[in-house]
Amino acid sequence: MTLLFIVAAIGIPLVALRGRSLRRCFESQLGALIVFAGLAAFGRVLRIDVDPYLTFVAAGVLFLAIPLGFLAFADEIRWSANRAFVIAAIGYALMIPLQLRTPIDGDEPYYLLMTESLVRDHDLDLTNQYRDLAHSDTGRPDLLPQPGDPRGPHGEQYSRHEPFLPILVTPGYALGGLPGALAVIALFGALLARSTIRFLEDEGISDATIRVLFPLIAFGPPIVFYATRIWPEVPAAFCFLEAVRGIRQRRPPRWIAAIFALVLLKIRFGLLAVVLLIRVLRTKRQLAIAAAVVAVPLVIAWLISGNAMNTHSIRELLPSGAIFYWLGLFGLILDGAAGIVFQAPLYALAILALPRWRSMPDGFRLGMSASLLYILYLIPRSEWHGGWSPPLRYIVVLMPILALGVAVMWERIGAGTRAVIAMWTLMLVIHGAAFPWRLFHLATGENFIGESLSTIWQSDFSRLMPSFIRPNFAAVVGSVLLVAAMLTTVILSRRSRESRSDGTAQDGRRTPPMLASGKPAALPGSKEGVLRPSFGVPRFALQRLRRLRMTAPLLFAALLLAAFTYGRRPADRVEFEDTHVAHNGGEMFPAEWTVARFLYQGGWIVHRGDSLSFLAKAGRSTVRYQSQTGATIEVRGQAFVFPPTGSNYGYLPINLATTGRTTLRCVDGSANLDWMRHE
Amino acid sequence: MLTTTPIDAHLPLVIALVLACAWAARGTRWPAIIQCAVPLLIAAMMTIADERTRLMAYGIIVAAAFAVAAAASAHETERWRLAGWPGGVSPPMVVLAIIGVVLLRWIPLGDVHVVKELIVVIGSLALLFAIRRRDAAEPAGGTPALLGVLVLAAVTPIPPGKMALLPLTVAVLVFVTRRVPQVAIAAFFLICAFFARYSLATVYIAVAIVFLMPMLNRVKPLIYAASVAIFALWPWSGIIARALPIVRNYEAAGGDVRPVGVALASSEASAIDVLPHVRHAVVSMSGGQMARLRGGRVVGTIEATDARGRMTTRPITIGDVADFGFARREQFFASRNPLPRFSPGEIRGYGANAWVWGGGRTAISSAAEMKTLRVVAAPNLPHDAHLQIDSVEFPAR
Repeated sequence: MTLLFIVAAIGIPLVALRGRSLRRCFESQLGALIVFAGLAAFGRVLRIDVDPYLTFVAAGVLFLAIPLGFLAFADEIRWSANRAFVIAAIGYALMIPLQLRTPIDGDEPYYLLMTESLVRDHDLDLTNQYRDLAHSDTGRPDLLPQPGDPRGPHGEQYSRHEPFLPILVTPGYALGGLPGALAVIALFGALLARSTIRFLEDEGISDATIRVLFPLIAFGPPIVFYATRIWPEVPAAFCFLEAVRGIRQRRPPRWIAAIFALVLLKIRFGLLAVVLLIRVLRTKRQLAIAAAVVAVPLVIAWLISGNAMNTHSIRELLPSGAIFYWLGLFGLILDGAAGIVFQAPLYALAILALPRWRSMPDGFRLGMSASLLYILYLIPRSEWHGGWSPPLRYIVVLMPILALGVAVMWERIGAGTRAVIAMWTLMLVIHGAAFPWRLFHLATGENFIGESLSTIWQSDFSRLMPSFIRPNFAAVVGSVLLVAAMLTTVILSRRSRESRSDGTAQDGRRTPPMLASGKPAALPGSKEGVLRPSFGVPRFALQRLRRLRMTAPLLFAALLLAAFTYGRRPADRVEFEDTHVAHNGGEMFPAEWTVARFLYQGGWIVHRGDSLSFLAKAGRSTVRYQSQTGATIEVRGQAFVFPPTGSNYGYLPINLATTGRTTLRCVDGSANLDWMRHE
Repeated sequence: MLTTTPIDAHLPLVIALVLACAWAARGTRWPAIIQCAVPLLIAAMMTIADERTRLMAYGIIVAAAFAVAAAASAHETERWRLAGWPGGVSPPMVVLAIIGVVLLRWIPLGDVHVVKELIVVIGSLALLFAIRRRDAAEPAGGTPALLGVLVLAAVTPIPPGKMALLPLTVAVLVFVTRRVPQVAIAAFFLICAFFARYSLATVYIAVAIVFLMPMLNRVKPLIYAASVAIFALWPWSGIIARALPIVRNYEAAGGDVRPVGVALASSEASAIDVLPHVRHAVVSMSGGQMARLRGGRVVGTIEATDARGRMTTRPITIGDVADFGFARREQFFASRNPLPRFSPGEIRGYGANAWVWGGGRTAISSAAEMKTLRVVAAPNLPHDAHLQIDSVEFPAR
């Protein structure tokens, strides 16, 4: 691993820099090495107790950030999309062993089983693979077929997943086993980086902006995590981007091939393909090709699973309740565990680009409009957040298009905001690289930040993060703020457009017409001159706004401080399964590895002798619980009898005398305690 | 749960200093980056429960912000050259010098002798101007001057109060000798450091560094990196000032450590229980009221007797041990003790008050299995001095 870091640290500058920049980069890296060695020596004396692996990964990531920083800001550089490809490939090659620290997870083992079956048996029947998991590279001897996996007429066990991805990674697997299979995905990641650079260049983004954004896009979440894991998302993102580029450049062979591959990767990506195809069809011949592009994957799916839609159905496209659209749409943006703002803050800029639709590049508008049907299908699903996968799974495919929106907005935001976004991204990369298993979250309504703080402070910090998986008050506040931000952006963008189109307009005063001599003409009292629109953004306001943008890190710091102060106070609502609750006995409900456990209402099951400790407010509170037998719970010396509720939930009021740490002990019976709400 | 240290208590001051760094770099592209140190400091305060790790994180964050500000303002010297502003020192550089001195010397604020520390600040600024005037013929770039100023400010001892004039004196010396080969002056101070007692040697070395700056300027990346690493220790700036060689002298305990806790007056002896089948032992000892004893002075003996009755003796000298509090800010300058050769590295206090326990680890080996181990205090110890046996360790071999 150290060797790989060294190779990357030397390789990336050699590829990207030249002349004085190259020399300075190596000097800076040497300096960083000395600083690290010095601090390590002092740390030994001070007996600093840190996780050595985390330190190693963090130092390595920061070390590699040096040449990428030079690439972004130095003058003497070697830069092209092909060099971006090489740099991305080096970075992903380093990321693969980091991600392999724990066995592959989520859908990955199933894709790998299919690959193994293709390589060893030349079929897709996984019966023998499941029988002989000890000889599989999945590292998962406990693997079972997924619910809903199709079976053949002779008892063959197929996977619900489309076979195109396993076919793609087959050469890599045959050559290098699991790392080889991952290398194929990484290759697609590097190709995606190259295509993204080309795409941004084609759409008129400046070279300087592209160079700054390249590391954040290629090595930032979510791409970096999916580029080194066996998911179809990164190859799909590459295909989708190539399709959009092909359409923009009017190169039918390119977009036909790309769309075909896109639909082969996953049937659901057909929704992207359909809109794209509708946008480009001009002739009957093209219509025939389009029909083939959509039909062939469906036929393949039908041949394998007996259902052309594979595990999907047309009913998924029908509208659901409005609440589900709110949860999915705002969740994808704001959710603490699965939303863009927290898990890939760079792309939050693209959300703010949407209200500026008319001023966005054509590529962005084409890509985003093509994704509309896909998003409408995605957001009401109960698994909008991706299920058991790294964050933002379902929208990774859209990231290159969002990157264009980001690039446009990047040029308009202040250095402070950029710095905060870069810092947060760096933190996410270090976290995901050091603890790859934490990329998968149980979807409990918490996230790793809230959980970590709750563990340290034994107080509920998770309530401060918006959760749309288990909707909370922060989610409502976040939604309102997002809508307000979007409206503000719409208004500001309209005003700024009108102000630009009106030349000298500054304020609402009347301006007399100018004479040829350059002097203003005298206006008769009744005659109006050119009315300067009063809704133009005044210059002083812009200056203030600019100053505010400079202080974004300080605003962020203030936000952190406020969260720190508020987070240590008792919450109004205590979710008993949360991390901040000290559990002394009992078990989580539903059990940890329940499939789609986000569909359940959580809780903590206590039996006789078990106790829970948490911060609570004084006064009347209501406990929501479910108990077959009934239970007696003791709180601060008072016993409360929880009557049986059968399979329904019941509510019981309790009174707490003082605010502070409270212990709730089950004296008799058992109950599933869901939450306690302060009235 | 998080414990609060004086450094945590002074976090608002530290944040203010970081913001001053950002101000010093205004007009460049770096203030926003420097400002990021503020949320990082708060995030470190929120998330790192281990005290020393947290303080180290503060140190690294602030050192990085300071380094960026120093580099940014050094590149912008020309922009800041004001009419009538003397010595080619830009206002941001002055601000950074003050920030550096405050970080290294003024925390905790409660123990600051304001007048003396202000004299140090004024002297440091004078030194900054003097160095820049001396280096006027050199290519632009003021950071090495800043480094020299901060090194000297860090090691300037108070008490005694008159030493507050040290930076000012060195500034005058730099100004007066600006046409003399600086290496010769640096060599003079290095020779002085070689022969001087430890507490004075640190001062001489710092003065020598000031005169060596033009030469060190040629290996900028190394010097900057080393400086950042050292500056990151500002939460223990007392250690930077008085016990930096602890990094070299530190020896971690690695065996079965047993506390003893005995203080021996002159000629007194104490027997230490020995584990069976042991041939090696390391005794951790420190002195009480021994700060005035010079290095090499024998203060006691360790005697190990093996199963055959053969005795191995090992003299304990000042250098093996030191007065337990010799590195304290108040006692250091007057102390004649050097840092123990093998120190357990017990660091006490924070900021400018940080000091290292004067204990030293003295090893003794016996040819055969040890039966008894005895420590005898020297008969000629001063009447109020004690030899303190802190612990004994039986290394796992």
